Amino acid sequence: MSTLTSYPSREIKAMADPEATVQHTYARCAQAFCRFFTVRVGGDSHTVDDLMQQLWLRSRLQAHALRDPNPEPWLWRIARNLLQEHHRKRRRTSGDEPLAQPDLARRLAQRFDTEDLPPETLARKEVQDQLLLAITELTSDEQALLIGCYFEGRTQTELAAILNISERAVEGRLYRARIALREKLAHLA
Amino acid sequence: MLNDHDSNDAIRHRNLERIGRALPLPPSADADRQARWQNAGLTPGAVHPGRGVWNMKRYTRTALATTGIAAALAAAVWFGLGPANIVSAATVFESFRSALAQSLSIHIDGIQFEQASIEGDIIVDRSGEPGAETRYAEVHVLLAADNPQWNDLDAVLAICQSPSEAWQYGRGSGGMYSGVGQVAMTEYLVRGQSWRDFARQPLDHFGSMPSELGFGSEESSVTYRFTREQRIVVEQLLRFLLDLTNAETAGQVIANVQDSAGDVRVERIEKDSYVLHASRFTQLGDLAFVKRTAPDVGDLVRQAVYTFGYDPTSKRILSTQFAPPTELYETGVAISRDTAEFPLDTPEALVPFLRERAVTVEADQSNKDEWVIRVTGYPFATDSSGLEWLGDYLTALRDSLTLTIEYDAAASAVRRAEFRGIGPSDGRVTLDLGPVILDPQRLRSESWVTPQTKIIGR
Repeated sequence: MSTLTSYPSREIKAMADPEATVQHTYARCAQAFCRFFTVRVGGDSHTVDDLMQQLWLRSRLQAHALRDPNPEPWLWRIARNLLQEHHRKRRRTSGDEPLAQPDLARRLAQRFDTEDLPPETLARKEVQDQLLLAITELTSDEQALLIGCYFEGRTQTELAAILNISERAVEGRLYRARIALREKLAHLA
Repeated sequence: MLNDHDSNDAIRHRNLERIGRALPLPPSADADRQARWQNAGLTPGAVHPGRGVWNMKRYTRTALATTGIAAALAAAVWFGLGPANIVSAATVFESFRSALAQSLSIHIDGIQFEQASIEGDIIVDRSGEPGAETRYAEVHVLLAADNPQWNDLDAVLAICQSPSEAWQYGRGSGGMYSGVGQVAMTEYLVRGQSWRDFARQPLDHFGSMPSELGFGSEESSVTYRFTREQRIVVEQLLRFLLDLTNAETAGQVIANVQDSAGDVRVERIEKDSYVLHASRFTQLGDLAFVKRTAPDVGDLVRQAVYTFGYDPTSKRILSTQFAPPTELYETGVAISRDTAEFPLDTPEALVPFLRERAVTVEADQSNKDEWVIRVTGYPFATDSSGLEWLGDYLTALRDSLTLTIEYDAAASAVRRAEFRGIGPSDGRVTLDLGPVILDPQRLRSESWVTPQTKIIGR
């Protein structure tokens, strides 16, 4: 199933109703939030469903107080708080959750920029964990582009058509998304 | 495809191509699953902090309704395919919260302590016009006599508030009848009593029902115990339940329950029936921990004033009064007032005995039949058994308390919820959500009135 949805920036600006804006943004970013939770709860889909519902409810209940025309950063804050509450409440992990290793991630960020990573490096569990954590920290748009291009094998022409933007814009955004991934790796906490 | 922004980006691009082949990403959520996330069991009149769904603009309401319908359709399709489980805990809790805005009845059953037990009903009928609901509560605190020759003591509080009635009936203890085995009850009926006052301090309305009641005669004596710590537990329980019936507080109460639960799972019973099981309520354990960290009570004991009336003729202590500093109550530590060691044969022996041991002793001999002696700083033994009891009780409660919520997925509604495992006798509180049957006879204060009832108000 495709992870892509069209860019909503113009639609968001046109919306005067913050609740409708939040609802629209939630729907647009749902795959990214789901991925973010899934990676961090060890793939437990029931827990992910719970967290996604709580994200929906909490954002909807607090939407009236929203002032920012782009609610995505606000939704990410709620998502992180929910995850933190979840971990605090559970007080234990299943052991399947990827563990952030900042030193390893930093070295990986350097190599990501300067050398071709060999397949045996990419096959290591701890390396994959750092990459998963970093990719799922990206914004919804950045994730959609990187995943569309590198995981689903879509061409820039296809991406441009799906996202309703020019090929030149796809190219520029992909470039920035690659930089963003490197930054996430370098600063993985 | 490769752009020429910088040379490093070519390497990033190649690395991402490799990563895309090597890294297993979590699968994407399909449309049905996404729809379920937004199907959180919201119904009109749901209890929420802040703005409710009906305060939203029409566009948003319509959007939400449309989303809900779409989600319901998606759920129906999903059920048709026979999935393992599609209802999450968040959905059930949210439906529970919504159901609390409707009529409900709460039944308290079998909550026992060493010498006290609690039974009762709280009923809220919201079937009438908005704002014209009927509320009725009846709570019994049964105190067991420690002497079989005496009756148990049934303290009752009943309160009713409806568009046409507002009254409160209370029955507590007023002392002993002349004969053995009977305790005189004080009864009162207050007309016009508000529910809000009752909900604020529910146990304060039980009249004369202190922590410990002792009665004696020449032949026999009895003690009824309802300790301060037990009162704390019952008071907290009643306030918790009354908050559940209050539209302003119910949402937050449920949020607290949900947050506190350490283990939550949803079990599918049959096609549209689910049961949520919640247990290991961590905040109860935290409370027990706080209560155990009481400060040193030595200083507090020195501040406490102990006053007793001493009859030099019969050589007995007739009355005692103990005014501890507030901190003693807060920390749950009592002072043992065992005066058996006092030399009571003569005042001349008693007062110097006290002065040797206490910080201050004042003896008022203005009444020759009874000396009033005030003592501070006497090295009474402290009694922290109540504190320990409370800590142990809350710790045990954390392990034994469970909440089950029955959820009907077809109606997106919660019909019943039950707290179990309250106290060692598996006390329970059952909430039936939806239309209630409230016997009109119960709402009439006359059914409680006896010739001994003191009636206050018109």
